[in-house]
Amino acid sequence: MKDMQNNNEKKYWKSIDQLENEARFNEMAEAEFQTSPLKSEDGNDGLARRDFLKLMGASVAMSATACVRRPAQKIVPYAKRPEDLVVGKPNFYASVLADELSGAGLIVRTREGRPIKLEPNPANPASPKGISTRMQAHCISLYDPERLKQPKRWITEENFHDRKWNLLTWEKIDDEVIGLLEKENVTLITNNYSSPSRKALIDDFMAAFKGSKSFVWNPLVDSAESSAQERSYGKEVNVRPLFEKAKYIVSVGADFLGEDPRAHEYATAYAKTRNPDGEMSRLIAFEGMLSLTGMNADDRIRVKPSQFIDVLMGLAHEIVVAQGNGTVNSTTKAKLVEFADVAEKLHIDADLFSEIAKDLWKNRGQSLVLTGGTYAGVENAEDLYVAANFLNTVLGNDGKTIDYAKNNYTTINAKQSDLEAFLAELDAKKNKVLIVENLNLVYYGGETVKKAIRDFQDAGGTFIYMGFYQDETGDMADILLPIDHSLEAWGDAEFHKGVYGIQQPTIRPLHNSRSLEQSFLNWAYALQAGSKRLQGSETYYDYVRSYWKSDILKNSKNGQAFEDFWFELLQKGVYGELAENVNLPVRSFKQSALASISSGKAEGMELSLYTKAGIGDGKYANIAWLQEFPDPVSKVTWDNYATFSKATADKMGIKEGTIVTLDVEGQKVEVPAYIQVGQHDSVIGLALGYGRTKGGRVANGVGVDAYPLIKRVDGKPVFAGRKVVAAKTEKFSPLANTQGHNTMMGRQIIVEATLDSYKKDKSAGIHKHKFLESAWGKHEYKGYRWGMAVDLNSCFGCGSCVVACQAENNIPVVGKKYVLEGREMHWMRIDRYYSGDMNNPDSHVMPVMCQHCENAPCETVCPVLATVHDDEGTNSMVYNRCVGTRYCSNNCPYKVRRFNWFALTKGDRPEDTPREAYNPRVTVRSRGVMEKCTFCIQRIHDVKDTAKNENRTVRDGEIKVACEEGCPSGAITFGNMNDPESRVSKLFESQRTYKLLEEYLAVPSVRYQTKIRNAKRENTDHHGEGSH
Amino acid sequence: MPNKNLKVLVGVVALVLIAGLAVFMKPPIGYNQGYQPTQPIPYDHSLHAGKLEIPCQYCHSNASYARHSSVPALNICMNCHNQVKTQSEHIKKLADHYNEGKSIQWQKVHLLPDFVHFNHQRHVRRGVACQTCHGPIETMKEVFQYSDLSMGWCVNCHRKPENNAPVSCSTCHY
Amino acid sequence: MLGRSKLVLGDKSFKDITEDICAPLETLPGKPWLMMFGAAKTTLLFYFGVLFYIAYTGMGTMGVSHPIMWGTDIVTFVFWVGIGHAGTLISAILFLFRQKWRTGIARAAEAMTVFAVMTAGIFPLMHTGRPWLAFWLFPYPNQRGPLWVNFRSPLLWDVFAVSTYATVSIVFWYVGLIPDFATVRDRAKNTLRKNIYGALSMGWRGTNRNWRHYEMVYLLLAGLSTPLVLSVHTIVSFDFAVANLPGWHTTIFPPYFIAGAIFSGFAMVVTLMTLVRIGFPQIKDYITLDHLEVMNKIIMTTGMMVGYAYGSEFFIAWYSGVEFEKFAFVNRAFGPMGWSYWIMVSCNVISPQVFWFKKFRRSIPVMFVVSIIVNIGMWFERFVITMSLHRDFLPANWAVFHFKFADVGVLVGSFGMFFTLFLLFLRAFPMVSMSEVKPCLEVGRDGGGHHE
Repeated sequence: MKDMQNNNEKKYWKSIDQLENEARFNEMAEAEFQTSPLKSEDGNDGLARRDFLKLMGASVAMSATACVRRPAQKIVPYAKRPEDLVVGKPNFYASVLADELSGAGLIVRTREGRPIKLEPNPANPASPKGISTRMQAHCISLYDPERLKQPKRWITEENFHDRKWNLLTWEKIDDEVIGLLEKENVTLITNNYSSPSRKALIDDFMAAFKGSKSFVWNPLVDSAESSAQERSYGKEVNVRPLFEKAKYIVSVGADFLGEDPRAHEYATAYAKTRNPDGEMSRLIAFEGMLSLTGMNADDRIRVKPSQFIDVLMGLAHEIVVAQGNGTVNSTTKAKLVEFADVAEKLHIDADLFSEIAKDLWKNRGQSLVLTGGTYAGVENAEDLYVAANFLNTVLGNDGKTIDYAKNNYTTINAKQSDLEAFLAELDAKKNKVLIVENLNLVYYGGETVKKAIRDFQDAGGTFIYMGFYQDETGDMADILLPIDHSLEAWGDAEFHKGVYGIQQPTIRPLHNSRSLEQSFLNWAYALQAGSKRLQGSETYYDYVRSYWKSDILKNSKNGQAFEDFWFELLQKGVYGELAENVNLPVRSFKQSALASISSGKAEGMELSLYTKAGIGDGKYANIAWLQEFPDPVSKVTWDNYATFSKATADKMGIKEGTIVTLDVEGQKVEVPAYIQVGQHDSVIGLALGYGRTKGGRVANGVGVDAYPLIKRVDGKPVFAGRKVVAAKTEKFSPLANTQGHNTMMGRQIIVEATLDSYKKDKSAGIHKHKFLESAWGKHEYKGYRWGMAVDLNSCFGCGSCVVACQAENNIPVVGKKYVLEGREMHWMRIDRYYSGDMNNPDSHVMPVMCQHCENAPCETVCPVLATVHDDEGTNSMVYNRCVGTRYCSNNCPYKVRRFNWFALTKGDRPEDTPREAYNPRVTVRSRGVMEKCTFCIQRIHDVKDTAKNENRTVRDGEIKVACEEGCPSGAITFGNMNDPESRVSKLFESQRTYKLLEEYLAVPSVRYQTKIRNAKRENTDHHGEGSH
Repeated sequence: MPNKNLKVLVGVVALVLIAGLAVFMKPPIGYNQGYQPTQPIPYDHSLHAGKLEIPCQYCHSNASYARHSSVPALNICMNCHNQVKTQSEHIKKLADHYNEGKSIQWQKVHLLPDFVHFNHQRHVRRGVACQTCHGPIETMKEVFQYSDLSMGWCVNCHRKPENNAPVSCSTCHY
Repeated sequence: MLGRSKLVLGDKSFKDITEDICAPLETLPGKPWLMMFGAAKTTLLFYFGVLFYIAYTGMGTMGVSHPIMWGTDIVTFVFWVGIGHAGTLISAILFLFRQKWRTGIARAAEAMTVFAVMTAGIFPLMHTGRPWLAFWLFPYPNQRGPLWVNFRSPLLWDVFAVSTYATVSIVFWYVGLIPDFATVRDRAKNTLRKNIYGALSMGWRGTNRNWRHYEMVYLLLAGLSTPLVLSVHTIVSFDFAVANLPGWHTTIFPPYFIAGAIFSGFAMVVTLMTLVRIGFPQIKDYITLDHLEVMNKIIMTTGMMVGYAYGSEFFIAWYSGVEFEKFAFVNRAFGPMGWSYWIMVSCNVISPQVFWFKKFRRSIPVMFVVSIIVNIGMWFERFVITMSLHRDFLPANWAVFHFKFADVGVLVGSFGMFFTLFLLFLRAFPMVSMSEVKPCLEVGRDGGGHHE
């Protein structure tokens, strides 16, 4: 049944499903472009495609006929069903997400043409395993009801008050813009992108209009790094740390596991070095606040941001001067001597400090000194980088654990200095057309930017905003143009030098939107301006293809025909390899670069602005999943807050939730306080990305805007180290914290051991209990018996799994009000405990989901058999049988069950997940029923189906549960316990394995492997008085 | 007066019996057995499946490789009907819809609740005849719900040892 | 010893008794009653409002949350079921022990039982997430396979225990009422009244056979309800004891709960009787200070039993050597919700001690106050037990319970329901069993030994 309408351009559609034949692919392509699943009312053949997500047809109408005792429903089949699209079966497409300062390869899971989940693309060499929380949640922003849906024009009447928005067609808009472009030049500023085609296109376009200027800016882009490279080695480059090769890592304020945009990538690499049976790496973190990196560090030392420089130079002094390693000239030596007494100056244990220096030298060529990010975003951030570079050169890490040439990051186009340049350009008022794309300039830049744009407009300039929302910036625009979601448009990305990904749309644009690229093509075409390639391409898709043909494939060795190459590319999604083992010569370090470095002047409290793993720079603040995502460190949702160390808080008489006034050189903000143990006593932290005013119904009014607190010193932002004065107020605003208590009370919950004790005893730290024979009859498992292993040693607590689970299992968002009442619904939570000295504690994280106990306590007490054991060892929850006595939860020692206290899936609250984003394979729970982790049983069923069709049993690793799939560090392993060869069985045999609350004899199917810390001190906080 | 007591006794026993009977006869409350809605186009299974002996899966093509057997898309009907019987008003209607790219809103006959994840694929591949559940479809001029599709009805078949079908709740409910 | 003092004061004749006891039924209510009834009825309506609000909006309207999934509903349920016990104990157990002094208070106490159980019955229903499906808790033939209920679940045992208890005590109470209904019928002037009470008395003639059967049935029912007094609260206690939660998982619960139930039950009887004596002075002769004193003694005794239980819990917790168990009890007294524990102890263990003194045992105001304090304490006892949930195994889950409007609403409202019913009872039914009091008329007269 070939479709009549033929669309040549579509014939390149490929799914990763190798089995499909060419014809089927074309069909698939048409399916993608025929209609939008959301246009179910407009009577096209896509009619009610969305409605198939229930068991077909859903237009509910009470029937007239007496014999019907259920509401009569309709079945609405396709008029022309694309043959590959099997109702009820997902299609997978390879794509990329390169939306922020990093990127990742994606596998997009679609149902009936609707993208419902983003999964990491294993073919991507850099981040084969997990993707970050924000990337996970990116999917539902596609369906955000508050997206910009129509091009708009801002009409100004004489009287200021009756300005209003006019909805316009693209034709009208194009006419106007083209009219403008004929006369005027363009000033363009966009958010960061890593797409080579896009870069080429923008350059082409700009070239077409002499005098036009384009800028790329992102509030968080770390330009200090590249400029420091320039200063140290004479060449600007974004280097790539190779964690998998690093045996000894010293991070000075660099949170490479948490806030770093590439954390998901680094976590994968870093996890490889944490195998206690192999050669386990050691991580030292110097930091002011408590970050994920600090939480996972083997040793953590508290230093305030302004003194990071002293730490780095101090280490240099220890290595070079004190221990006489490496060769430097006299001036450098002299400079280093200035930092002779760093340890006592910063009250760091001197022995530890020199030991670190020794170990660094011992591991030279295999160690790594890191800095950067907002935590280290001090005024002299560049100096920090230079010092770090110096160390890495001295230690010979440069070129070994630091890749500056092979697969370094080449396509970070954003520059911090671009903002100033842009404002200057704007001020000059040469160009009468201003285009801002996908960059919420006003929110990030604050009043200065606002004013600049106003002046520009008053001077008769036209401000065109191409954005996703009508946000703070969009509100100022004269012309407002909706852009495509990355799941709706073609594109590409260069993850690292030589590693590319292709972004293919998985759904036709839901709204009347058009990407910047397409607009530029149309305008250039209309004006007959620009290069041949610009003129030659009708759609951006053509442009991307021609670019790849001419530029990317050109560089590739293989002499494959382009069509085959493209075919392969679309299936694989990624092109290019990472260099096997990087072994580059150490670059010569310009020692003069050190000259200007001086010791940090630290007085009083210091501000440290940072970004949270969930909200990031605030771009996605309207995604409720991210707002409700508990911060990996503080476990607080729906807010940002000023973090104080325990000591400071006690001194000031501050409790969690007390509103404090932060006075940063005149700028004041009022924000609730949070007591963050382990933070430096004279540091106050505050997260960026909150306090949106026009971010959407979810984002608005959540937290306070910290961007005004960023000082910009000649184009460089200062995130950390600014002097801040905190004053307590009498006001109070509770923080929606999802964790009640932060210590383990000496119970055996998270078992941890030092590497040394592990080497002696593989089951170190695990407190074994003696049991009498259980009175319970054993269950019998003839076929499979599902189990899950969670390796605490490679779990860094990033929480990617939490959002992955939420996306897979239709878990509702409850909102701040109810999180405060403890009604959050996450099936998977990450418990975080502190132990030891509360000024600088050890942190422990543990993902806890339903443990699927063998002797499940919940099963015995449910009066209506709504939760029962199934014949494959999972503890199944039958929503439709549940009457909601909640007895099961009371009897659950892990308290992993969640109850639907209210109807949260009606879609009548801004927080509610858009209906289109629901996973059709999972029942949407009604009010009054209990729910919990099901081991992603729908995935188990699907894989078993495939296996049965092929008359075989399920292969090990064939079933990937959502959390496992989302985990960047591969901490979670799911499989069949009955198969002795499976990875879980193997892991369960390892002596590091223990059961949570083993003495309770529930015999969980989820088992944990102890965390091993490569540290000297023994962790004391374990299982004080043990029960036997 | 023993005979009086006897009367009472008899009465009570009778009541109990009637009550018990009523309960075990399982009045089909809340089930749509026999539901036979009128369809926008009076598609005749007895003609297509019965007289013409078109195999079920020609139209319900997904049945053997997806969870939903799925009502055929209009292009499947049109495969034949752009030649066959094009003059009939119904076919005209069908053709019109097809050409306008509109779909037809059939009345749903078999209503399984959303929380029951039934899987056609498994049953078809297991060699369960369509008729086992859908009844003598090839004789139905208008389709009606043959079985009551109650959980008991499902489970009683799953329970039969010869079928060795799973009977865990999680087989269908998740 | 009780036998020697008079059971009925003021040298009554049979006629006087009938007159006294039928008076409330045959006269129009006075202001006080009307006011009390008005108040109670208003509260009842408010109660319905709250229940509807909860059922319509969801359980989230109440304080219960993760991890404290049971709260006010269950606490108050146990509280009311407990109240019920005194009635059955007095009417059934004391009857079997031939305690003649029970006759004065038995009827009212039974009424209290019936109403308390009715009030209690609503809570397990309302606390479910989907009350409209609560009938699934009953094993009835169905088309799901059939799908039965989980007979291992204490909640299911509860369903049976409570429903049986309710049925039996209602029947028992009603049978006791029959002869008195007949009396009322015979005295009735207008026909409507005659017919109603005629129907209620089921054609009672007072013949020899009537009495023979009646005595037999009554004895049997007494025998039948006696074990129920023990069984019901035992099984209610299983809701907690069978769960594995530290602080719940305790073998001492059944006796401890029963003692507590009798404790609170008697307290409630005292509260009601003192009120009745004020409302209907003539009743003072039938519900005498002696009665109240005896009940106060029982209150004190059971109070100390409960106190003993509190103590032993701590001992066992320590003796068990289970860290979770130990922590649970330390936390119970000294944790963030320790306040409720100390309310419980001071109300239940300390306040009844005043009854060591005869003066207080026989002082109406004292016993009234104490009886109310005791019931507050007993509500908190159940609260404290339920709140073991707030700190269990994994500290990450720990939380504290916060009362919300609906919690207070259902608690107050339930009293509205109870008192409305009880006040109606006072006016519609003979509040003292005439047929049982009359035989005891001679007891203790002329200081002579009594019958049997």
